[in-house]
Amino acid sequence: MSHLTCESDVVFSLNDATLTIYEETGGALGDPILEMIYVQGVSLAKEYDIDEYPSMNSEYLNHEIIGQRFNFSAEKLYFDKATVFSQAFDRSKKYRITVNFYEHSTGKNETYTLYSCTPGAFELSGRDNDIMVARLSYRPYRFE
Amino acid sequence: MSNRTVKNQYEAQLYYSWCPIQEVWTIDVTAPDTYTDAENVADSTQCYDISAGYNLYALVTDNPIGVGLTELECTEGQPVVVTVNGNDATYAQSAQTGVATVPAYSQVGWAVLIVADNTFGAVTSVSITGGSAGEKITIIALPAVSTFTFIGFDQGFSWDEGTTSRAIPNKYVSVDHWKRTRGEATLSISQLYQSFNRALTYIRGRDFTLKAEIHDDGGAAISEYIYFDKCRLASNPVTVGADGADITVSADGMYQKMVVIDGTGADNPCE
Repeated sequence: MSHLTCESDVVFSLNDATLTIYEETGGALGDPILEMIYVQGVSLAKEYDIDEYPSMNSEYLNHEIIGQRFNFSAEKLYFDKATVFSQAFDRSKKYRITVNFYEHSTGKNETYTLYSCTPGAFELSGRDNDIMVARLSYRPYRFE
Repeated sequence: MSNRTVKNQYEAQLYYSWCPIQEVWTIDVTAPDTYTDAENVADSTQCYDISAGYNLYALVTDNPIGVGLTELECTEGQPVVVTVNGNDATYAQSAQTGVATVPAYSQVGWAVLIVADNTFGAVTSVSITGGSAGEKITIIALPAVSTFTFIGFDQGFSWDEGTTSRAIPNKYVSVDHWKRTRGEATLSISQLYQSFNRALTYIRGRDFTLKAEIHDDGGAAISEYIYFDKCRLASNPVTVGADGADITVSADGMYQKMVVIDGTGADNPCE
């Protein structure tokens, strides 16, 4: 197993991440409506819908991709309903979300831009003697 | 107020009582001179029997006095003055009034006697001056002195309030602000064994109130009273030593809250 040690390897940490949510109105983006702080977690996934066709007496499965989707979610410490729920979670609107990872020691950075995100789920969780965490899920149309 | 004498554990006397500390009234300060008493049930004065006549104390609860301070140059701290109105022990119609001045920056667990001409039989209203949002004061009645039994032959006593502070970080800042959390309030007593029906083996597994009287330098005067409410010793193994050695009991448990009273002044519950 090879071990890469080239200098371009940068490990990004969540401490360096800046999440910004804009409203997408078709024209130019306006000011950010929510810059997320107290971020606890970020998740971006691409999923395929696959149909599988088993063949007789064979372990081999034919499969066919019938669709694909993106899922994005971010968790932050909860501090009030107004900032996340009424500003960045309106089902009738589309949002653009940028996630910027910046590595302080090298200055390297990487930005994910998620286009035309539709709000999916807003979850609030916690437990006795713990702090509350809000989890926002969006479904991006595409990202780059 | 506290003096500057170092306390000596050898001179801590321990007592237990089956009687709990009664909470008579809660004061959740929302703004200066203003409080809510949401934790009091309706007509709360009927819920707690203090009719035999008791001294009441104002106990700093949950947050220290001065939690609302944000200014860079702290102004002189302000005490919270609690005024309690009620009936005396004979239920005389003449209102009983008592006042306690809780000093600025008092810490959680500190209790100040509500000074009245006589003891209270009921509480009908409470008012405050001073205070800031987030502070909480509970009016309590302590168990009567006559209900306490001396534990004795103790070899060591320790308690730990546990941390009630949780740091909330933000990016690279380790403490952005603090949240209050539940502390693990534990206590531990070790003792020379007396008999199954005496002391630690006797009070195991049930709720009691523990009182520690702190004496300075072997003197009779008590410098400080420390009460522990809703104590329960969950475990108290007995160890029998070899011939000539001691039989010892070491009990571990938890408690709900601590009440500390200055013994040098007029707050002394034995007076």
